[in-house]
Amino acid sequence: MSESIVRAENISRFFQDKKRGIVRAVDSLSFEVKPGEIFAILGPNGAGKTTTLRVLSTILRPTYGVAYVNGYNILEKPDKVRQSIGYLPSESGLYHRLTPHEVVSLFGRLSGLKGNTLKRRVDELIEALGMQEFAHTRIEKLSTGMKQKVKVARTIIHDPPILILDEPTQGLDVPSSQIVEKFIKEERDKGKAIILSTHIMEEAEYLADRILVIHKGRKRAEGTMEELRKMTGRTRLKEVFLQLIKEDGA
Amino acid sequence: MRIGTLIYKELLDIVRDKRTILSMIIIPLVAIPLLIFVVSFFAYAREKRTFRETYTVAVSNEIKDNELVRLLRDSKLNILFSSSPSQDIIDKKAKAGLDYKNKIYIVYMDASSKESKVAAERCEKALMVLKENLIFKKLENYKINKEILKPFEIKKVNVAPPRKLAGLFAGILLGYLLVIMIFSGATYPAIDATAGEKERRTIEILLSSPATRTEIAMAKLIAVAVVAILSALLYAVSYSITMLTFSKVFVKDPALSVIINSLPFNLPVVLLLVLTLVPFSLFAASCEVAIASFAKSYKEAQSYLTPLMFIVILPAVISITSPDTTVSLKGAFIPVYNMTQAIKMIMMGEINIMFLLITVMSNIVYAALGIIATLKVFSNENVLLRE
Repeated sequence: MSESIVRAENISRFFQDKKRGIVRAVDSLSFEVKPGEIFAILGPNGAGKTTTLRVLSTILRPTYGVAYVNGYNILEKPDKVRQSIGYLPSESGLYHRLTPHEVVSLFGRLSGLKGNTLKRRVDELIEALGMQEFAHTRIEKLSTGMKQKVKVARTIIHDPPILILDEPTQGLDVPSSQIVEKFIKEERDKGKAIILSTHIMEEAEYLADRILVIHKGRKRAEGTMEELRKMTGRTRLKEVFLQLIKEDGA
Repeated sequence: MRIGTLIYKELLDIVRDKRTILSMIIIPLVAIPLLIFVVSFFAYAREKRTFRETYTVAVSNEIKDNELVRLLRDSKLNILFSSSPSQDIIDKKAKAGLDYKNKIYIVYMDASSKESKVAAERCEKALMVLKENLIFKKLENYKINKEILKPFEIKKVNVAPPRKLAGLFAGILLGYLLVIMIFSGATYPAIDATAGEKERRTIEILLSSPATRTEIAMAKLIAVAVVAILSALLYAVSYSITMLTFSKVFVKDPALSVIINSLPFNLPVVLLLVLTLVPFSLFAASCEVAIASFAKSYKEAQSYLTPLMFIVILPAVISITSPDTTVSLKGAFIPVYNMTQAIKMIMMGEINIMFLLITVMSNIVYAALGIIATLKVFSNENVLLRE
């Protein structure tokens, strides 16, 4: 087994809420992800999935704990961490007044690509994702599926070893979801570590090599689909999931 | 240079927006000149007509002085003999009224009407001539030379060069216009670059890129300042050209022509203006970016920034309503006000070096404070990710 490329050690993130007081969005979460692995974080709405991914992406600082991404400490080397990841937030937008070519090039330049290397990589992605016809059309004029391809291209322009995808198929129709699922599997096959959050059981079952079930910010279970089945004595992931939450008294 | 890439992205995004094109180019270059031209043309035509027109004056039946009646007629006034001159004005039968009671001539007018005021002025002038003629007649009766009433004459001579007058005229207007336009020109791009990013849900992808938050914030600040300064200069240029054209086409007064031709629109003046405006624009941009960052939507940001415009307009209005050319150094520390005064000085060509230096330095300090505040806002996760 290869060494983990992402390692979260007891990461916690608390928020101060006027009505609810201190909210523990993520509470002492630890896990590891290896290269060439799809690691799904499964949980209901408000479980802490997005917060976990934001902490790993250095968008949020953990209240406690630390994580190492591609060997870099998220607190000490946040810029190196961001250089190592491709982050696709949930229902993220795009700069609709720019063209796909401009957006992808922009994020390539921000990641340090330039000159011919940048041009080659942008052209390569545009071809690979079948974006030639609309590469120079303003994003506001594109369909949901086309936009999804732009988001994918933007995320992987710098060919990062780790992809962090927050609810990557949320709000998408079936063809657009397929584009994303295909892309995720292809990237895994290239040896990349993929962390994705989802509340869709089928998606986790279909894509994930290992699943982390979280609820109310805390880890409920972690393992392969088989391991989770054994753990709960249930067959369908939906039943497994409900069992894990029930065991927690939810 | 990641900051260069980010500035380019911000500018491209702003420039591509129809609303920016409308507010930054179409309005200053087409709408404003058209508006000024049309409004000024009608105001000028109305003013000319007001002084050319013959008005009716209601003269009391008690007034039997034929000479006064002749003088009134000579002053482009039609006479309407009346028993109640003041009522005739209310009834819109006359523009002014004239009565005589206990050796007092009473001139009635409607202070809310320009035409009534002009008619009343004509009555007053006719009465002054009548008064003078009566005095002269009495002096003649006593065989006294009427020159005795004029032991000396008073003559006012303007020593201010046309350049200074032109500068004062242009400086007061430009100072106000540039300052207001920098703030209002920064409003839309500031909102678009902050609350707009949140509304479009692009802020997270930017924050997860290798660019640091300082780079992201600075790029937004610089882009907003650039748009603000360009927008203000476009307005100023457009306004100046329109006014010059209007003056040359319609105003035939030779004295005014000398002043207009002396307007100091040359390269050193423009360069000095831009140089002074740069720190001020950064100050304006930082204020607006920092405030708009707290909003989660475009609408919310607009409501946050509206009070700021009132704060800015106040010192600018003080400057325009007190067009004094002598300035106290204390004023150089007051943001906005200092800028309007500095622009006036530059335009007049009478620069108080100390005032200008303090103005530039204090605006640099204010800009630095604004930038620090913006960076602080951009390091606050709760503000940036507010949904």
